[in-house]
Amino acid sequence: MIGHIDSDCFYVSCERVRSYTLRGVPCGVLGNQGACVIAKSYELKSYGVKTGHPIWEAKKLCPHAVFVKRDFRWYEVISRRLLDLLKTVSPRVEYYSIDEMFFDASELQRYFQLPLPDATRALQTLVQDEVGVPVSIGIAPSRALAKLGSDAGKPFGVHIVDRENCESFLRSQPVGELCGIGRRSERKLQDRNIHTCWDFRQADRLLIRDLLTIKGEALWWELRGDAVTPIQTSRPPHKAIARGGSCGGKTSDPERIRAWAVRNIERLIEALDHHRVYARHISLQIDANKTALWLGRTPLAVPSASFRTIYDAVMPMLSAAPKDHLVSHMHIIAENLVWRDRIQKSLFFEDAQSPLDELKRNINQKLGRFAIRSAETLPLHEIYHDTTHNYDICDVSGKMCF
Amino acid sequence: MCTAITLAWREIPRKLIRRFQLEERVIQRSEAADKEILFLQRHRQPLLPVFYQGELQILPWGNRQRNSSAPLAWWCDVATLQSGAWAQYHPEPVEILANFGLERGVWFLIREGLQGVLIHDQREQPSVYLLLQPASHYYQVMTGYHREPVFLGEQI
Repeated sequence: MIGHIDSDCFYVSCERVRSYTLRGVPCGVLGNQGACVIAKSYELKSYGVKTGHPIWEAKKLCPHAVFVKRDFRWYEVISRRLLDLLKTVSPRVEYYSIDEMFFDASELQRYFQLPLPDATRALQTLVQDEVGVPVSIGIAPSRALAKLGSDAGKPFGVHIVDRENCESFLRSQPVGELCGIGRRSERKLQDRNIHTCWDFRQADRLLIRDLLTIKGEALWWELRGDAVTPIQTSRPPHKAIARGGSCGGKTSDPERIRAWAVRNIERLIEALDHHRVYARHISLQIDANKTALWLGRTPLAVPSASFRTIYDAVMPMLSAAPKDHLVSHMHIIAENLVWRDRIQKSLFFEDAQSPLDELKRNINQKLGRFAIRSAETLPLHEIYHDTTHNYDICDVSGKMCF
Repeated sequence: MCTAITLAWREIPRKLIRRFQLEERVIQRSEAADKEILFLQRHRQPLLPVFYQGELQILPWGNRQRNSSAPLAWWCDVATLQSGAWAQYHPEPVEILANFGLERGVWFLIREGLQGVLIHDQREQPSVYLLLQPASHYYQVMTGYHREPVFLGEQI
């Protein structure tokens, strides 16, 4: 059996661990700019506040709600506590995302010396007591069913999907609830009269494969109880690593845009160092209002994680990007990655990292992120005055998905 | 400026609740939430919970009385205090205890408390002023106001 543990309103629950007064209070967690609700408590949700709502709308819907600034460093601490606890109960745990984990539930009954439903409840209570966050748990023969089970159990529920209740459970779940079925896929399925997860399961396998490729077929098998996607205890190597995001509001100021590019380069190099890889291609993506405005790609002469090399690749792309739009988001992407211990040293090009890169890394590891940074990032003074900007969700390492 | 704060009901001694009739100011954000005492600047008698002389005290928030020698204000700017303009009043630093603050309709979390200054007038009557500083980018976006309180042990 596979288990799926999913924290209920995770960011808010983490804030409640360290601020007791937030318990029971309608609470929203705001993004780093302070403008948007990125997570909300169930109390706030009941007032109609949704993720992504700007604060000026949220405060109208619930005038007595309390808003908290996000702190991903703290959320990672809680997430790791949950992961460590789960590892004591299960022989195999997959760190799926910061608030979700899959685990091998075969040892659950033996560990708690209880029948499976009671053992699952006991695990839920253990997490609540030890980690302090409420979780929902789904147990089923496959990942897709376990995830459906925990979603259906929210909040603070437990759902065991077995042979007896599988049909009635799947009939009650719309097909759009399946992880991996987006709106477009849902429409395709509905055109074929597939509305519920049970319809999906009963559909012709080849039809599903035609409609949704091999990933859809894997889901079809999973809904039948065949665990075709195993639990992965370590993250497979990245195909690409990206760093970037919002530019703190729309801007056309070339100094600020360049400063964001340099900051993103520094974050990218940090990630490349963490994963022990070098990049062979560097891409730059610039967005205006969530629409890709510019995408450039530069091959590097040799695999590298050097600031100078990546800077020299990014800056010409930045100069070539159109200037007549306000820039809202930017990403720098390292592609075609290669392990550091598997590259051929070159006689003709500079090393993949210079002594200066190494010195910068060592100092920042000792004194804290961005203690030493490029002077070109100085225009982002508001970012450096606020340490919560130093940590983002993508900086939480080891998880399978965003 | 921050126009209201709340402090959990359980954090205020009963004798203070009775003496200052704070039951009238109890609010509860939901059935499951803790009761809080609301300290509003617009109250007929504006008060603040202050940690002063080693204990929690309930003291007047700012000064509205013209016959008092204390400044007619609710708050004091950090820059003004540092310039020495208030030196004649002999301001003392105090900690204002709070769980949540209100600014332009937005309630925000206060983890440890706020910094304030306490002044005694010619009759030795105390007044507490909220210390304000230029708002951070985040605070300004969140509340739409360009000044923020001085937070204890954090910056939001």
